[in-house]
Amino acid sequence: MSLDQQTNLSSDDVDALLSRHETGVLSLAKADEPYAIPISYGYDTVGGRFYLRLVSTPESEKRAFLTSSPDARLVVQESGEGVYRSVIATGTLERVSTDDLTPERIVQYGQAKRPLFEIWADTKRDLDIQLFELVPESVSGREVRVDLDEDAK
Amino acid sequence: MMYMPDGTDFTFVCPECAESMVVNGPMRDALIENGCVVCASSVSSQSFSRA
Ligand SMILES: [Zn+2]
Repeated sequence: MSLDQQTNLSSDDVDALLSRHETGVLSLAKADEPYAIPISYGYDTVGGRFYLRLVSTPESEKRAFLTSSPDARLVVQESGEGVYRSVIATGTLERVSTDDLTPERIVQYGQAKRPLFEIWADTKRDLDIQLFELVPESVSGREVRVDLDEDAK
Repeated sequence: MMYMPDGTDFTFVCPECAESMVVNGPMRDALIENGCVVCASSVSSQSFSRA
């Protein structure tokens, strides 16, 4: 019988996990309506912030959720070899206007690699791409280990 | 945005996403180094003109 072990990740482990991934699932809440989308992000370990590019069209459901600064929850996870890790960051998603850009922010967005919209057929000119920052109020990570080798030893 | 009184401003127009914005020297350098902040396309000095 395998025994599942669950531990909390240290903040260094959380930073490392967030740094080695670049996609997650972002959930937004408006009133009592939930909305979840896959997103790509850049993560700044120093400032503990996420930098996101989100694409929406005027009719899209996403647009409706992004009009105000919504409460957001970002989940990033990984699994393999009997171990499952997930990090959950909660906070407010703030729109970044191009008027508020600084050289530092340009660098951070430069590190937000492989935006998901690059695989879209539309040209970038036709997309409405908006910049956001998620400054988490809380970040927590968990690791669950299932000892797959127990019987082989 | 905080304007630096002695800085030269440039108008940036992204060749890919057509986003345009006025930037100062350090931001121009950052865009050339890191790509368009909006769409992540690479950017060359030809995408800037004196504002
Ligand atoms: Zn662009």
